[in-house]
Amino acid sequence: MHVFRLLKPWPLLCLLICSLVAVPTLTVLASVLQPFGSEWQHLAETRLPLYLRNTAILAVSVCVLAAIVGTATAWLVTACDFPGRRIFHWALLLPLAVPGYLAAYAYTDLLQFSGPVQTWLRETFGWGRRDYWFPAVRSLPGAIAILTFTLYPYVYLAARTAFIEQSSCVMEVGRTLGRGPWRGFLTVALPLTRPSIAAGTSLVMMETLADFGAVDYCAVDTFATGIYRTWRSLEAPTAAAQLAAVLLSVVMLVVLIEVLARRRARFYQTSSRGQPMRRAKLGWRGSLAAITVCGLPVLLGFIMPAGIFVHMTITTGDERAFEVVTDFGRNTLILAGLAAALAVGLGLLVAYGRRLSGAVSFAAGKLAGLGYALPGTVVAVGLLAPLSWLDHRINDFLAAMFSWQPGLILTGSIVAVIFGYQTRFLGVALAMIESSFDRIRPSMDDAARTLGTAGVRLMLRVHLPLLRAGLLAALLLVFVDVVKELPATLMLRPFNFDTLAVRVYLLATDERLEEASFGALVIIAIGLLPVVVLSTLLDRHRKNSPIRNLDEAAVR
Amino acid sequence: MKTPLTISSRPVGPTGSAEAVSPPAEASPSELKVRVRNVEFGYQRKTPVVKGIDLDLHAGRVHALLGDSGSGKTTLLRLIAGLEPLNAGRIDIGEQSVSAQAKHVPPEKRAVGFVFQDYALFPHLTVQQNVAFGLKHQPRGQRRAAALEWLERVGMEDFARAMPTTLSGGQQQRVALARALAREPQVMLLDEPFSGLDTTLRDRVRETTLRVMREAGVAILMVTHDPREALIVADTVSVMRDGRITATGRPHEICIRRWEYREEGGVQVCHECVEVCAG
Amino acid sequence: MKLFTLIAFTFLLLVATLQTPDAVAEENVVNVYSSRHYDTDVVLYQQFEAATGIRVNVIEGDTDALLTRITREGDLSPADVFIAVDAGRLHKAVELDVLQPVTSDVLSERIPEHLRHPDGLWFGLSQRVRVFLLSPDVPADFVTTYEDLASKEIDGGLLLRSSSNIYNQSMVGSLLAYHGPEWTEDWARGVVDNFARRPQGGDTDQIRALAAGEGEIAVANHYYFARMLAGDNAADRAAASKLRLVFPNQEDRGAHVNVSGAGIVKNAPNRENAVALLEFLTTVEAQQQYALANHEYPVVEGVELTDVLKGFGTFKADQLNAAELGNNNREAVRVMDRAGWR
Repeated sequence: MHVFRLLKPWPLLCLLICSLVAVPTLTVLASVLQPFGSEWQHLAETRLPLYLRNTAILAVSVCVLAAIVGTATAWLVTACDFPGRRIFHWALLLPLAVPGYLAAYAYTDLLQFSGPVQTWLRETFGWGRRDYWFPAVRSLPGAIAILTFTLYPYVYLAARTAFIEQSSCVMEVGRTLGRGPWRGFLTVALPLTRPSIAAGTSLVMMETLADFGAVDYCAVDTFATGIYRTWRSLEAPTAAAQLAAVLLSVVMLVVLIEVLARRRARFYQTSSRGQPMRRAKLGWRGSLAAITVCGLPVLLGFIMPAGIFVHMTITTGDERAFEVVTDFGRNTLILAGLAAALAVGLGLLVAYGRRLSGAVSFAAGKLAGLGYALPGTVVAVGLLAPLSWLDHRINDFLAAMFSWQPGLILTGSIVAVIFGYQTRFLGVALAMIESSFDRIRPSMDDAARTLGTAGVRLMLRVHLPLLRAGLLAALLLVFVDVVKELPATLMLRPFNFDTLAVRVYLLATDERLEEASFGALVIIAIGLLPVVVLSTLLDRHRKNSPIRNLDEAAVR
Repeated sequence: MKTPLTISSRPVGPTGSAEAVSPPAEASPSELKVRVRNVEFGYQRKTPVVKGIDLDLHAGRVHALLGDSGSGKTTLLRLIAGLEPLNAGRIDIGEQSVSAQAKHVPPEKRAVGFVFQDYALFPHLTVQQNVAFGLKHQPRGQRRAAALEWLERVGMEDFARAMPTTLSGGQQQRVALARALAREPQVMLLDEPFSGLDTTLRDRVRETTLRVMREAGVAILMVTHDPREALIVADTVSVMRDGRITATGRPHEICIRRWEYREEGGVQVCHECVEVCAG
Repeated sequence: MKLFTLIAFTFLLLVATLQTPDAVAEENVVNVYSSRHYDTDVVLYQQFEAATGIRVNVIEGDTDALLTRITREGDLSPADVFIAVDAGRLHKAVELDVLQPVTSDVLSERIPEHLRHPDGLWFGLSQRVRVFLLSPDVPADFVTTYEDLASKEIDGGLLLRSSSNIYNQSMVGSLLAYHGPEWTEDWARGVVDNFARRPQGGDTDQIRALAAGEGEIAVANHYYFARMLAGDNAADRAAASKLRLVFPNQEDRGAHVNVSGAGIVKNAPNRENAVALLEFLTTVEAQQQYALANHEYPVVEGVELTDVLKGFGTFKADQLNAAELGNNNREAVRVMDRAGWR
């Protein structure tokens, strides 16, 4: 019976999609089977301890800080009433539009020794180099701050949704037990939303581990930069892959912990049938504090970097500004649109398979999701080999059959780069869709089936409408991620197909940041649109969200 | 036509004290709608959830399944609906064999109506769209009219355009009932349909529900863990324990031996309700 | 059935994307894999297109990424021309056997022998010199050789970027060639002791930091400095004009020079066009733009230098073979790793 279940088309399709998408991940993991070369001894003696230390400190600090910032702000905007709350409600998502590496560019430019702030200090007070202390942007703490304030929206998003769903019950407790919002928050809301916060934080962790641009610019040596350096400078691709495998195994461990935590979380699901939230009105002191707490992340994560780029654009400009919008902008939109649509389609298939057949598809989905923690370069390198091989086989076949060689169908077109995006971002789409699917009670499916509806009709008439919000969220998050993505694009894109991120990067590596500022602004602007849509959508979504009740969740 | 009384796995004692139960309408020979024979099922094969189940359901009759939670009542309902495949035995609905060793007619092709414990109304559709959902083979206008007619029968016509989430529990229950009945099934399967309602509402809704279903002439199988409910509404009662039917008979033939409430986690749970009168 | 709809949709999507790579299908093209990222190069490609009717398709990217890609693509690679900004990487391309020899009288006539591969596997297109920049607070002869970067006198005044950077790797590679690994490692330790700050940023950042007073000496490629001097940014101009440029090792072997160059890929589908492009890039007019727009030194005689470069004066260049740099690259990285050079 179980073997028979395995052979059903859905799990099989799931497995196929996931293993295809996970090819680079599997390539990386397989590298541990190869002998560990002399590079390892060299690494262990020189840089490996540093990579370990920095990566651990970076990941833990960013996760903790992002969790705190995201949760605190989410709680403030859902449970408290203060001037500007409605604005912060969506504005807190804005930093999602700013890639970490752009924030790093901006802050470094502003705060480094030769930047305007320090120069002004020296000129005003007549200080010399060793007369004063100023926090270095290009440092581990700098990288932590930058990543925290660009990544916390993932936690905010998850925590806010969870708080909204549980708010009524929390407030009831608050009222009946005579507790203020803070006590209620600590004793009820926080434990209840812990799984959601954990899910958001795990996204932050994966982003942090995969980040190359920001840490590299901040001169911090982490696993991501280490992998790159080992591959490139030490010319040891196997050791680089093995480093990546070490990174991945840590991620796998964290994913496992999260899966277990989520399994318990099922019992945490409460009814969302309660009254709409009644928010605690804050006094002026409280309001001021709330505005500060909510305003700071928006200021640091969005307004400052965007403002710096606006200033640079006004003062320097970009000779190819028109081209930036028409060509690079168009390419970015094409890639992001296609990749996001495909990721949602595949994510839907996999999530569907999981709903129908459980464990196998679930594990496959988790495997496919690991790519989110892989630096883009690793994905690209892991993808080039199998795709080129396939290209050659296709050409051999076509040459033999029709004496026609079409060339590099996969690696020579945007197929490769779109594929790469799936490896990187399918996990994000899947997470969104699955959490949306989890909200649809199984009795919905059963009801539809006893009403004579199954298959496509069930999907079209019941699932898709109920999943709409989740699908759109997945679409938009992948879209934004692709717009921001750099290393995989850089390595896999076809001829004459530069994206905005590539344009900005090439100028930045040539140390012409001012000229890159316009492109950076366009990236942020493109990223903004989905963020705003996402925000309004999530608010509306709640009204239609199906109820899941406790007994039923416990029985299943 | 078969005899109205069902065959049980164990012989049932001749009479028992009927207590304060109002006896249902005098049983008369009626059409056999569902025949369940020697059915066995387990999510993992080794530990069957239900085993050796025999059951007959007749048109216009209410058959109550009584038992503790975990005794396999809901599973049996799901087996009849086709939501789970059998391990052994067979199920016929009307003239058609729907479940057997190597045969499984999927739920969407069976003439069953299912009212779920949580009602499972589609939150994205209006009440009327919910009821019309199962009527896919009719033109749109006809579907709407039919849906409205069913809503009238359950007294919910005023809420046709409302969204289900705005309804109270009793209202949702009635919509779910209309939705299931609109497909004109041979058998209605009700999974604790009244458990979510408060006591005052329950009696009223129950009366309406059963009247509508009886009028529709379908066989009714109702799961409940409340013995009083079973005794009040059912024509026949089966008691389930540990995946088996331990007794079947008319309500007055089943006597209540132990009726014990226990506190479990602050909730009153009817722990062990019914036993068969030994004689 | 929904399954097939979705698969069909996905497939259609993929097929639709296949329409984009027009590069391979076209007849009269030349495909360039370049790790130079200058907008002026694009202008030059357009001029080439106007002059010859040959369309130039470009993928810009990191040298190693491009090399990986060419190797993976193998005999199907559309790449005709591979352009690198560093002799070491050109040598690596030779080692990986991705380039093919070209015999062109035009090229060998125009480009001096030490700036091209003996078998014509690659040709230099521009030269870049790794120079010292001194703060006005220190004398002109503060440091004059690469060897002296490790001297105690600098003490916390040295601004130098990370060892992940290929320019530093080549510079250390040249020291390895002259002094051997043990000496070089000692030297690297001395350099690390002299750092004014943890290595960070690019060459321009070092120059800016120097001008702002964060150190006494910076090491950078000359064109970053030239670009600041000639640029639009008034603050940069003012900062750079305070500094003094020093060509190192003028008394002995000469300043460390790196070439940016191009080779023709082994399986180039458009070989003639590729040669035409290289010949075009070495004309005096093209060199004027190709090299001088970025303030690099041209490889061709008779190109008039920009005012900024004229201001730098003449210098003696190290004639070390590029292959040597390429061979030493890995060892150079290990040496810097061991010395703790970030």
